[in-house]
Amino acid sequence: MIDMANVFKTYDGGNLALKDINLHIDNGEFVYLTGQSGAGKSTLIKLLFREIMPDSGQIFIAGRSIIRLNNKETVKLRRNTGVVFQDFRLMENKTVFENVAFALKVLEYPWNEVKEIVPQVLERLKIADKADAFPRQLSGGEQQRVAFARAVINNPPIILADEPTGNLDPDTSDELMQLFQEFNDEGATVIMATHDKRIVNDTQKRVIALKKGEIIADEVGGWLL
Amino acid sequence: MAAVKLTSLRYILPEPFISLRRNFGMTVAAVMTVVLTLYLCGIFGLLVVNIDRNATVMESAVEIKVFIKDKINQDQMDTLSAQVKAIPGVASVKYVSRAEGLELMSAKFGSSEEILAAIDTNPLPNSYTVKAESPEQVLSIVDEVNKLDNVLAVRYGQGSVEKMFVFMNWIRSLGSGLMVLLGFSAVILISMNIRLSVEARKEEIQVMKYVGASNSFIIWPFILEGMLLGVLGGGVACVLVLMSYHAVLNLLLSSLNFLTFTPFGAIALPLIGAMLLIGLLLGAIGSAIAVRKHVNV
Repeated sequence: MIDMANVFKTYDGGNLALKDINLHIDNGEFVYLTGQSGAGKSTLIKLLFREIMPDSGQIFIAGRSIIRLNNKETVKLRRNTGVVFQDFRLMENKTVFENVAFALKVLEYPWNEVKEIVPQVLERLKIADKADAFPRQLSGGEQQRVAFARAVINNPPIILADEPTGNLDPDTSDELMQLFQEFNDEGATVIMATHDKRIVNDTQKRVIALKKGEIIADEVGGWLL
Repeated sequence: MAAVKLTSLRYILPEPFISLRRNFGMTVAAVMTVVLTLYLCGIFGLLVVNIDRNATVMESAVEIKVFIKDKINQDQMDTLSAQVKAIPGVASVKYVSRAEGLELMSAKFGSSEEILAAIDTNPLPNSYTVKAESPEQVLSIVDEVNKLDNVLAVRYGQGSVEKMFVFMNWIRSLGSGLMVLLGFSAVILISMNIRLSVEARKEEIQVMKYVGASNSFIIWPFILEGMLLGVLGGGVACVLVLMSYHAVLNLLLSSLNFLTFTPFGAIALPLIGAMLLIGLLLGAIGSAIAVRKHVNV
């Protein structure tokens, strides 16, 4: 489902972020990207939703190259990809409800469906009582649930996460991981960059370990480094 | 910019109102900028309009005096009158007898007994008062009149007329120049202000892109917001300008009655229309420029 072939990425200033990345991820897999800061985890995630472009190499999603996409196709790719960030990235001037509803509005869901779906998802993620609150009024764990709700509201086939538990305490992290697991069980492919050794060891999934931009290990099990 | 579907429109239209309310500080700052610049533009515009009006009035008052030789008969007089009328650019020719001339003169200098008393006989010749269609034609008319028979002398305010024309044209150019300059700085100020508010919401735009919002879905709320800001500012500026003008008219009409002013009623509607429209356009252009930078997918 996701394929990367000979992908290189250099940032301005000549720092080599990714070096000759080749990988294949199947439909419905749950994959951790591990490694120290600067190993290239975030870069790899960003490439998958076209926040950045590789210098060379190919990236395929569902059999289609995502290197040459026009605006419309890029928008479509993003609509099929839910993204969760370490710093939540909620819209500060919108309420919880509006933040989540926005993802449906851009897909042109009719308002009566938006009114129906959003409360259901908020209910499922146990933040229904915060619907009218603004992000700054929420705890970190709650904000990340809102971000998660926004990412999964239209049941995207791929969920990307960049250090989603980075700002959360262990209990809150476990609850969030539970949510990722649920959506993975329902069929979504989950790719999560993390340096949280504990959750990786707890869950025993496929782990792709990066070091200085290269894949140094790729196997199912616990923390590899 | 891509067309917006109806469902999207329903979502986009309320956005600017919500956003303006929630970014209240930014809104106030941006509206104030629009108000200030448009107010200055408006005041200056009215100034130019009125200076121009007075200049036109003064220019049209420029007369050419054609003094006629004494002792010519009625036929010669009629011929001369017809000849003057035939000169291109002449608007009107009015005969002023020596007696009328004296009356006009004494009216001008104040009908003081001493002056009249000092003059035993009327020294003035008969004359024509000639008005030109436009002030620029005065000199050529004078040249033509000088060539005619039975003309004693031609007077037209000599150097002072030329100086006045130069002065009026200068004021007009200066006024227009300043208007353009002010308008230009208004555009820059407003677009900079809107850019600031867009810049502050750069992350919001980023998030919109992550969830797959199309460019038009991101851009339009900002453009509408800019328009709303512009119209709001234009409206307030308009009210202020009209109030100022009203006050100035009341003050000056009584004291400076040799000047003429464009009446309030004639200025109000065009001004309201123009300022709202300018505000709308400034806001739209300003936010379009500001937001475009951030939306490239």
